Amino acid sequence: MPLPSRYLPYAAVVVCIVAPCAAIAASDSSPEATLTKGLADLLRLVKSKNNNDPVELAHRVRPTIERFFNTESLTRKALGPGWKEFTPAQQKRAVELFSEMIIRSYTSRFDPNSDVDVQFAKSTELGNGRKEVPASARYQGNSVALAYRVENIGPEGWRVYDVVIEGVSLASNYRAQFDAIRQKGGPEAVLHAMEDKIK
Amino acid sequence: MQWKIKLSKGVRGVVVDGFLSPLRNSLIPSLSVLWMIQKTLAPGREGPVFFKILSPYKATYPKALNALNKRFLFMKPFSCRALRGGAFISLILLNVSKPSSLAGSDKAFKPLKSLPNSLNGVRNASSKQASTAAADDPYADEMTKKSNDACEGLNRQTFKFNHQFYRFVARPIAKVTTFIIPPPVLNALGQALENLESPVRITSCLLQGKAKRAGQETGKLVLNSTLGVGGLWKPSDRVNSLKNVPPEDLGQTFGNWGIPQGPYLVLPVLGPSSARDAVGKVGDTFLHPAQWVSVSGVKIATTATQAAVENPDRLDVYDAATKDALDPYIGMREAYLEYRAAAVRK
Repeated sequence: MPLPSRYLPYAAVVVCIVAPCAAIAASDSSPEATLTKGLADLLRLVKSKNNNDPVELAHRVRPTIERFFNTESLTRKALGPGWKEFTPAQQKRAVELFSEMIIRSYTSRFDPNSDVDVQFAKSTELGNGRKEVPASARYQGNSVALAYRVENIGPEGWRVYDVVIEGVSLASNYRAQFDAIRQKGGPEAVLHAMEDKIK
Repeated sequence: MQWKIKLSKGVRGVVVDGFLSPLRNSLIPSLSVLWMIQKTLAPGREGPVFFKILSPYKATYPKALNALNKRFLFMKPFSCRALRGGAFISLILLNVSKPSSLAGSDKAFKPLKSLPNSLNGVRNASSKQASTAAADDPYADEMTKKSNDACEGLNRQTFKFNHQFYRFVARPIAKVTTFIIPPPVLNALGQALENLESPVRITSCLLQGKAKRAGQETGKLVLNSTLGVGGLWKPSDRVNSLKNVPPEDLGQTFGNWGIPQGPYLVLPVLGPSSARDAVGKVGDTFLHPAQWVSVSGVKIATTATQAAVENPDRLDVYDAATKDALDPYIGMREAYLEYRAAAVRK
């Protein structure tokens, strides 16, 4: 069948949240080791409460995600060349809204009671201080191919700036949508669209 | 202007950024680019080097040449003017693969860390623009080319129709199906249908010259049809070499042959597709064993079961791609096209 499996969205939920947060243990210099070590920390955080409320879950994981996910890079990649049309205040707002949108989107579909097994493979160079870490996630009996794109931001180590699920990049999927909105109504229209989505 | 050549450790990647040509038409520069890369990366080698172009085109040498030519011809009105001034713009991402005749000989592909002196004087009017563009969009190198959506108006109408169809017809049916049929049974039926589609995958593998993968698919078919009782169970999942075989179909085969995806299409009820995949889907239908049976009842029963089993999956995928999208139509389009492009690369 030419479409991803039915559990793909759920597995995507897990990895989009888990992978960036997995960067918690940043003492090891390699991104795959960082991701592997941090995975356990994040799962511990997710399972620390027996609460399935997605809003509460989003609130709980958000500080960790914001700390280890490079939300500005993700937003910048999603906005593409349109980023320069935003004023610094608009850029800041776009980063806030987009990260909120992504976190809410994925936590709303995440089941904290389901186990997830993510195996990381050796990273490959993308250039410009970026790497791609391929991985395979097993969630609710289904296997999903993933790739985490990470960038080295200096002493703070590696941060995830994009997740590719079964070949589909999170940032590039949103880029096409942002482009269409921006070309019609400019940066304000993009911000309004994100605000509406969050409501 | 700087020529930028970046080679990964495996010596298979090269980025050529900017090309100045003193030549007078748009065809020859593409040849000279390939010639230059061949001489740079495979000095002393006779005959063509095989190029695999990752983006925006994926093809082997002759196809790559065609693809480049198409690109240049497309730019002809612009490039002809530019060429008079001695400038030609090109941004080509290439992945150089080793021809099988050179297996084991890495020497021929030893990369040069810098370009030959003869090329040092080359200037490119586009280099300034390129660096500005890179500053504006530092992730541009990771983006795919703009989607071909020549039928957007019609597609959006069909998308709206499908949305209502899923809402009022498919979703209620899916609820009834999942209520009547327990999930394990539904799963087993799905696996049996997947097993039945093996000829499609095996043929596609063979047409792409993927003999190993065809063998794996055949192994899966034998194992699941016998020990798995017609595919209701998947004992192949317990065999490491058989459990993660990427599925193939004719659409992917066409892609592997270098046929472009063509315009994006939204098919009534079936949902996202492309010109290439739609043609491939017709071919897949003829390769499906249900079509080989002359009894029409068997065909109808198989098709109905397939529709019932795939319906919940289709809706889940639809929801995943559209629920959190700002523009569900674009969200689905981009997800589909990227997914299929990645499937062809596997």
